[in-house]
Amino acid sequence: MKGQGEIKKKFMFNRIKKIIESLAIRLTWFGSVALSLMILFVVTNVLSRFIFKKPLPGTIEVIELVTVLIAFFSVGYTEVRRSHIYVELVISKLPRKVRSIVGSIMYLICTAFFGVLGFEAWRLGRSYLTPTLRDTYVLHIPIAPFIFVIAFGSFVLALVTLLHIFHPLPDDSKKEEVTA
Amino acid sequence: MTPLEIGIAGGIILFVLIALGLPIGVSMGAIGVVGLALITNIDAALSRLAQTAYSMTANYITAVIPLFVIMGEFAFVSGLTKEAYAATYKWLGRLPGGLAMATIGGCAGFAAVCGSSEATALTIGSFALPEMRQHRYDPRLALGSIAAGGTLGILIPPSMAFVLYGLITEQSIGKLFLAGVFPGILLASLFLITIYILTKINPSYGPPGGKTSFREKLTAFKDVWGVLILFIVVMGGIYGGVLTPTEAAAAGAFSAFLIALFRRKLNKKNLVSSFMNTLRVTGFVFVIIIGAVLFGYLMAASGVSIALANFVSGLPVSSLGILISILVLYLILGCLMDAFAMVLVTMPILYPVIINLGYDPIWFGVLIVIMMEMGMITPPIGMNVFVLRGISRDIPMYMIFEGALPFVISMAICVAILIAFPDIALFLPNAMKR
Repeated sequence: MKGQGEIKKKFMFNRIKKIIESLAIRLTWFGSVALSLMILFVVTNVLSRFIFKKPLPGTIEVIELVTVLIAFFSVGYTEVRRSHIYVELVISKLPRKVRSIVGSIMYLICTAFFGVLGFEAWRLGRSYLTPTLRDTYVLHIPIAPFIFVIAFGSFVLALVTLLHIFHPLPDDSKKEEVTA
Repeated sequence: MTPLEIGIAGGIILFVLIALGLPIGVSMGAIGVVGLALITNIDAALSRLAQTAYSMTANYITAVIPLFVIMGEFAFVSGLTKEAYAATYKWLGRLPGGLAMATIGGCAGFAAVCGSSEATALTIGSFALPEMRQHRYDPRLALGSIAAGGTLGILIPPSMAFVLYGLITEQSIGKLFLAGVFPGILLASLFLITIYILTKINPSYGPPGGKTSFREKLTAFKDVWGVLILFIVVMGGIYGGVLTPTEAAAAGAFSAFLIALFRRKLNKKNLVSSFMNTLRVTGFVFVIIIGAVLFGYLMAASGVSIALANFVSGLPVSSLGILISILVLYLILGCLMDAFAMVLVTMPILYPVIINLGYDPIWFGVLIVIMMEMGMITPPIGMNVFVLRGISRDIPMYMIFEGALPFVISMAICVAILIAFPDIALFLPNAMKR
């Protein structure tokens, strides 16, 4: 019975893990589209400035807002690949069991940090909606949705780090398998 | 606790958390928020967290990060690396250590289109290493030259290191890029001299290659057009004042994409992998930037930066002595932690000291980037060496570090030359069109 319970728990964990990781990976599709559009938009603006002597209006604000999308649609995937930079020098010298415990604590801090960031970004986004809708100066694009992307991206990242609390040490054999 | 004590405690705890393996960005960000909460209040600190995440991403300058990364990815897909390597080999291959020299040339060429040190080392290493081994090169020279050559990726513009330094210190990224051009050429030349001396002392280190006709030497230039186009688009645009760094990065990325398309090198697989790699890098860079800015706020609010700057200025030591001490500190830190992390963690503390001493921030940026390069090839934490270990599993790590040592000396000489002649770095940015 105990063994079956363990298997069920493991099955559930793997299922949740798969859902969260595939969410983080799917977000990179939006990030890729945003990056492609940004390149095209900037190049069009440069060409328009040189050829027609007329830059596209609101270029800077579009680039700024699109950068938010690129950054926060990527952060979760970066953690899926365990690519956020950390220093291994001290920790790598410890026994595996100790490393695992310390790693779990570190991931707990990460989850709390990104969870708080997500919550605070959510609050900030709401303050950009009411009492007055805040938008950009030239094209009047509402800013709040982009701040909500920060909140969403942070929550996804917090969920990936939450998973890593239970598997704090990277499994090198599986590390490279996670792709789009 | 006074704000100053909170700032000092924050600095100490930061190093503890980093040593325990907490990601650098989170370490800096969490300490920044907690420290600010203690100095001001929790609401102000938490709202600063979200505001910083928004202001550092919705930012015209930070937009260069994904753009330059994807430009490097497309340049890699286009095969631009091989041509710069082949062209240098045709000119220098006859000399002892010619293949190692070609490696440096290839790295310098690829560095002109890629801002990452590890990517440069790995890309060149993937084809230069088998060739050097086939020609019975000593593995120390072979791997040492690739590891060192790879570091040119962050000195020769476009460079991610300059982007991050510029962001943290609020300096012009365009000027920093221009400041890296001549020091990059100087350092590449010093690497070539190092290889020449090493093979002169011990010819078995790098036997000379085959003969190349003068005609072949001349035609070698036609193959490097891709690198030249990208360099002219990016650096010409910035230097001429016609493109901002963000525009230059987008134009460079678009040109690199067209080159890859023109050469029929693009397919679904490498297009997807270019985007995925770009987003992976973008993710960690932005987390680090947000953390570093939050930590910088703490250092400023606690008064640690100013207190340290005043303390150092009051020491009975010449400003040159202090500068050298700071560079030695970076040399030690570079051995212990990731080069980017080292700069982002220390810059909020040490940058005001440098400015207080009257040094030029652009010139200091170049020195710092060379110190970062040293950190990438010195033990025990040397990212380029780790990357190369992945493609040369049969060669022990200590041997790669040993091979990189003569190049570390070249870097130290380069730093000394730049201290003696700052104009080598400052000539181009000062001549830049406004």
